[in-house]
Amino acid sequence: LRRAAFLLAALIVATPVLGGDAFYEEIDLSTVRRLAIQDKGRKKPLDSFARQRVKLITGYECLDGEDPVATLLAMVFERDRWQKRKALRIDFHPLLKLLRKPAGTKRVSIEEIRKNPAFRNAFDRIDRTAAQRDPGKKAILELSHRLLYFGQLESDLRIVPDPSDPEATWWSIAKIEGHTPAVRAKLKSAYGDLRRAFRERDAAAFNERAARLARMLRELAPELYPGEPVLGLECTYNAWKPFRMTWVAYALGFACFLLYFAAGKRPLYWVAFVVMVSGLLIHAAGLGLRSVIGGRAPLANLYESIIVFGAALILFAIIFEAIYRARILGAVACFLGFLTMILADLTGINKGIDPLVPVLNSAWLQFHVITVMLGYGAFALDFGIGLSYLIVRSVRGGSAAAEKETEEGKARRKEVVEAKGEASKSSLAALERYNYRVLQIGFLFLTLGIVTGSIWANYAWGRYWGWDPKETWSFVTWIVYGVILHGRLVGWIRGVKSALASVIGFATVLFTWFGVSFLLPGLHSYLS
Amino acid sequence: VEIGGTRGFFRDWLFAASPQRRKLFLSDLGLHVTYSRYASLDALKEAAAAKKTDDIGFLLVRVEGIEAPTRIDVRASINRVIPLEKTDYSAKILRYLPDFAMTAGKPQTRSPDPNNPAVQIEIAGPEGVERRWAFSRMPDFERFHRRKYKQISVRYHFQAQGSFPRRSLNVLEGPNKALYLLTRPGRGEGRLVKAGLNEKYGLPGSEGYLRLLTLYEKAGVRYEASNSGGGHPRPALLIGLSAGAETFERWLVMQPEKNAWRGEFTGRLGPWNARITFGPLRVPLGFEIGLVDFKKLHYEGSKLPKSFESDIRLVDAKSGVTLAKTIRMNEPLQYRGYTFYQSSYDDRGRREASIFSVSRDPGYPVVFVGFVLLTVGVFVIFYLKAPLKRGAKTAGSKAAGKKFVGAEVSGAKATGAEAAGAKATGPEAAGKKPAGAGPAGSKGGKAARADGGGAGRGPIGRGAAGEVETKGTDEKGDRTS
Repeated sequence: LRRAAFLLAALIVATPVLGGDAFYEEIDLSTVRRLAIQDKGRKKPLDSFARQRVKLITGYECLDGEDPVATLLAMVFERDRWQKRKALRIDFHPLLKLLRKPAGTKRVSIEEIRKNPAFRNAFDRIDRTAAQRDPGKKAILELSHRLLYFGQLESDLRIVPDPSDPEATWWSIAKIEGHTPAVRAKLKSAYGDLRRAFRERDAAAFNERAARLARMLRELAPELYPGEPVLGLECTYNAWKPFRMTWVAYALGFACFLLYFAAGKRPLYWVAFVVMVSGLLIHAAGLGLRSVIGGRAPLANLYESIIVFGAALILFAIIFEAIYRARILGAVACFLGFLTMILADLTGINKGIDPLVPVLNSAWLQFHVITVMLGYGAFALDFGIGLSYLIVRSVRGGSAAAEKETEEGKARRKEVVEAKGEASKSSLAALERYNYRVLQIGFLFLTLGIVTGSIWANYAWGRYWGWDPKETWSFVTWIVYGVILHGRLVGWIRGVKSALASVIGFATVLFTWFGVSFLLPGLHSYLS
Repeated sequence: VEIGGTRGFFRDWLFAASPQRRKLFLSDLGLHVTYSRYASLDALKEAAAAKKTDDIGFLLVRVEGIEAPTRIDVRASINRVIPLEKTDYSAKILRYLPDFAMTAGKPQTRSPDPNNPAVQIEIAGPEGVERRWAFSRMPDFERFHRRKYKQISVRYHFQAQGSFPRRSLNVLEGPNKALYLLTRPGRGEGRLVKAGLNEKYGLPGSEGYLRLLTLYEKAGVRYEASNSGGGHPRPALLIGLSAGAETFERWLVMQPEKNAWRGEFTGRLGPWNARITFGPLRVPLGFEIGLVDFKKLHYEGSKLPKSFESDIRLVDAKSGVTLAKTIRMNEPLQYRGYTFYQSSYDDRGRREASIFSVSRDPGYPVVFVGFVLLTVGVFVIFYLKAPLKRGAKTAGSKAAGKKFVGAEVSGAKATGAEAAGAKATGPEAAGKKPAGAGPAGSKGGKAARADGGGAGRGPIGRGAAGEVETKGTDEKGDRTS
């Protein structure tokens, strides 16, 4: 009975949505999508704004498969109706409990939350300082922010350029104060007409009025308004989602490598290699697009550092594959690249192209972040090699006694030198060798990264080194890899030890990169 | 005063005029010692006889933009909702604690005496409810703590007039240095007796005593400085002054002031008014800079900061140079070896201020060479050394191949091996090894001993052995690569 009731409820919820869908198919959203809007210190197409807000408010990238622009229009134009729609995704169980919803509930409507006395009560009691540490309270605050973002949507729709404003602030039509009364009235009526067409589900009228409004807005300040190609480019980037394509490509590449290992057919290797290279090309194109859109190098926040890191990892893998034809390197890199990019894509990190904070606004940012990320990329590859060494070794019989290992190792090494067959390429000795080579590259770039960071710090702050947590931990990382490399050079660290060392070293990198950013706030905290 | 007990005594000064230093609290006895002065004997007796009043003060709640604050009497308004005039807010006093302290993580009162009176108030308004503590002794408390309603300030005014704390010994001074001692026990009436210098008075509830030693009508405080060593540097200078027959010493302690660190003495010196200061030496740079304007720029239509910049004017009188420049974050100004960085700003006060850090670093080229050497070094050690070794090894591989010695290599010895191994790159080094393994292996041996922390003679021989082993395997490893 319960299930039946649930199904019925789901159907009732779904009906208005289905009703909306057909209309959204008919209207021409591309005009609306390319309206310029001023948001977060930048002019961007409405498309970007819609995607960001819809994700923020509903928790879905596309609500019920709708175009985010259509969802945004419904939120603004049919506010009262939309508030009743069960559209807000809630994953946090205590929050559902607070809202008195059954455990299986996925979504609630804004009205339900607003009218819920328990939520209001809980929200009123929250002490903001303590809330950061309490997940329950944090969830309540976050939900209230979602409501807030919904509430101020219309006034955040700042689509009216105003050349006379000293701060270059644009107006939303709802709260417009600039321009002459005549212009204001014209804009308001055009906007009202558009709203009416949307509410009356009149697709033809909507398309025509949207085009008219777009024309009017552009003519208000043609010199301020971003050009069609610029807006179009960002819409393309949004629709294309290059970084989503990269993880698909790397996953494909990894699958091809696995197939190759299983079947041993040489063409399969080439397929895998080409897939990996095209993944990197897409990756590079994505980075390029991001730079053009943001007007700056994509190196300013956590998301961007991760995607640059992913590119560095694959780049090194391709170079080393080209040199050694090692097979296993490509497979490992594809797998790690896939993991990196899917984590960056799906974990809800802020992916917005936001302007640079003043501290980062320097040419040194590029030298510093790129060298550091190249270093991290190499270390990640090295970590992958170390891991596969450990796996291969345990598969091939890790039970071999320690003394035997040296003899065996010697024999195997000889084998590598003599036999140049396919199998020996992935042998332990070869893995160890790649491990070393990749480490060297990583260490060189990490050194360069620290040096460029110091020079930049001296240039910007007047001191090279201040023992800020990030600085301290990058030094720790440098020492750890320095020890590993010297240990390898003089021969203390060989075989399993060197594989373990790569794993430990990469753990240090991860701590320096993420741990410090989230746990030890300091000068480098702008990453998050 | 001198306070003594079975375990000895200590002496301390009480200052009637200083709210902080007119009181002592003996924590092990739970006893307060106070000192106060009265203009007349009547006032003194009245104060000594005064009962504790019921009045526990009032709150002044001020909302930004509204002229008149709302006055809330604490005693009369506990748990009543008081609307704040001309606003949507309302306030409610939740509780009053006379002697506030955090006990076991909870606010509680230590005693019924108003030693640290505090009031908890609840402010309600359209944005929700906020609870906040207001302390009469710490009017600034709320400024340093997070609060929801920043626009509302709550001041707690409380004066415990004429009442002395319970469990206290109070020295009261009337005109003409007439001293009285008021003993106020934990419960019941206090007792006022005439007191004199150098007599002992028992401390209630213990075998200790209180003695009044010296009374100054016009006390001055003289610092005695000592070198504390740690913490922030705080220079102090002892100076001797003499004017005629009068000689005395003074410490000048440098303290941060508005513009600079400065220690100062002002006072009479014989017939003169003297002012002596001790501060950092000002070195003229030969040029001056002045702030023309400070700007905080935002990205278009947002509150996101884009740039912090100061327009400055630099005047160099010597060379006649006048420069108008803008210093930004990531864009410092360099002039005659000095670099000026935009480091901070202050726009909270009435006056805007831009704060620069200034550095002079003539060693920059040295550091730069260091950076280059470091990078080149890393490159060389891992990229050029391997091929060099490989070349060397093809010649010496036969010799090296036999040098496997089954000694275990652990931390300290391996360090020795590294020191020697770094030298032994050539084929001839490999050839010399058998000799190195003996007592002649002094280089490796020394390093091993130093690292082993004086572990004994053993490491010398083994260190040398380790060197051979390390070398051998390394070359072996290289051959595979």
